[in-house]
Amino acid sequence: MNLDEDLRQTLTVVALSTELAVGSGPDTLLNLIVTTAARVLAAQAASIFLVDEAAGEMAVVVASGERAADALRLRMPLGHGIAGFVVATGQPMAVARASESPMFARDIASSIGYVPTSVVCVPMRFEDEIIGAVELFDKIDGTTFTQDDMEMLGLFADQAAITIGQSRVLRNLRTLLGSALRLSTAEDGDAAERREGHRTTLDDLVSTVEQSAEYRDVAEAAALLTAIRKRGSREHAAALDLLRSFAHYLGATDTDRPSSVLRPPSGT
Amino acid sequence: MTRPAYTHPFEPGELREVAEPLPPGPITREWAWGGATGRGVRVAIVDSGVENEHPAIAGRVTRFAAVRSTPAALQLDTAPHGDTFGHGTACAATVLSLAPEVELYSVRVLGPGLLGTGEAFLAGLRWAIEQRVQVVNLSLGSNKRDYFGAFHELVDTAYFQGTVLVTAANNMPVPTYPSLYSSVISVAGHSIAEPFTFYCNPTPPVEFGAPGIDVRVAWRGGSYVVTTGNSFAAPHITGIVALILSKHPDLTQYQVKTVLHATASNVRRSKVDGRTAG
Repeated sequence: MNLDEDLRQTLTVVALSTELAVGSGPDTLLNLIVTTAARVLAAQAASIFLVDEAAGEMAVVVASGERAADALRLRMPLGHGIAGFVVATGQPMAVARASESPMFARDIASSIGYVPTSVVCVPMRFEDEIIGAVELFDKIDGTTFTQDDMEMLGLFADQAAITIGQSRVLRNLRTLLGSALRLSTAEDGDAAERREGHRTTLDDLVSTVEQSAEYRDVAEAAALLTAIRKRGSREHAAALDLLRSFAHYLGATDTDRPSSVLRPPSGT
Repeated sequence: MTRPAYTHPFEPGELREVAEPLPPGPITREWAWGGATGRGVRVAIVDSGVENEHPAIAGRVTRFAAVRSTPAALQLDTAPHGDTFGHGTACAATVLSLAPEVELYSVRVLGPGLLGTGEAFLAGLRWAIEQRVQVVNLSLGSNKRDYFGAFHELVDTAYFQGTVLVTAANNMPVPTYPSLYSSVISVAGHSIAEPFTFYCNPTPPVEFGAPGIDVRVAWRGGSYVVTTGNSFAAPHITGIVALILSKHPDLTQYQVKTVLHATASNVRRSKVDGRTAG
């Protein structure tokens, strides 16, 4: 890869990251990721697969290229084809001249609707879980995808994973808050009905929170901090300091804050 | 009765003489695997299964173990199985292409309902080690820190009993267990198509490079594909390790690494008696 191409690819990834930070909706972002990946790596088509563990399936959620519309309707059993293998093992893989292998061709065709010449696939990881894969097809100059291509695709896959992962975490809450907001600003219906609607929505929210492991930890942490605050604001500040220091010690945060736990609380 | 457990083997009366494992002169490829075919060595392929009927495999798999997930626990099914992906067959065939007379064990930890879970992987690896095979090819890994300890324990057990583990390093910059541990032989891919061309990396954690870019490998359904991935480089080293062990069965894992290091294509040979060794 020469310097021009290096720069072009780096700038594209940076621009993509900036755009992601601004916060468009997840589908728009995923589309952007997939089309940019295909452009940067000179591929004719691309797909993002997502694992649906409950259904035991993998679905194509975003696709680009001529057959994108067909690809979007595809669901396949977990563990099928290259994407299935990549998702199961977390190992990236590329295949050249796929059409020359009948078994291979059939597997791929059944998963994306046509037989590509070359394929590269990398896993998408969010918080230690492999949630899907990003796959690119048919390098435009007819060559195979290289190790560098795999690495670059890995960067896009990371972005896609963050986008999907974060949107999932927020989705339930967003839906419920949205319903609550709609109810509270509704103009029709009398006050009693509105109150009933609020109560139901809040009950739903509470039960979602209680049932969902994602939020249970957050709820417990909040409850603990509230209980500590009742003992005093200094104690509350110390508890937060402790959490910050631990996170910093683990390297879990980016900011370089000196530990304030070692400083005696003011006033003693 | 009490006795000092760890010092016991060194006590007079207990101390035993052992044969020198490595040659007195330079370690050459001829010494390492010249004339070897892998006969007498059992290699476990921990993967998606192996298609025993594939022409490139030709029935060389003699034992099977497939991890099955049930609500109660993980079970091991020892009936013959096939390859749901093709990847295990690719690895097995690559090993055979270098060491045609090894005996293969297929340990399936990937497939419907398994999704390569860390638990399934651990169970399969544990079974392979319990069978006391000489070499295990692991073109897989787990990224979960939770499994760090469990893998470490297994890998240590393998080392101390004399089972060599060859793993594929992950291409993505994520920690992978057990590939990261020092006692396994971790392998990444290079682009030279010659099977006996392998490189040693003086700056680990990836220690060796073997063909893994655009390699033609067997695939399920009796077919072949041309593919790229570190998981196809590992079985090249597995095959070479099998050759080495068939000729020198008493080498430990670290001695095998020394031999690989000394016979790598990028090693600069030192001069002996004014002539370049090797």
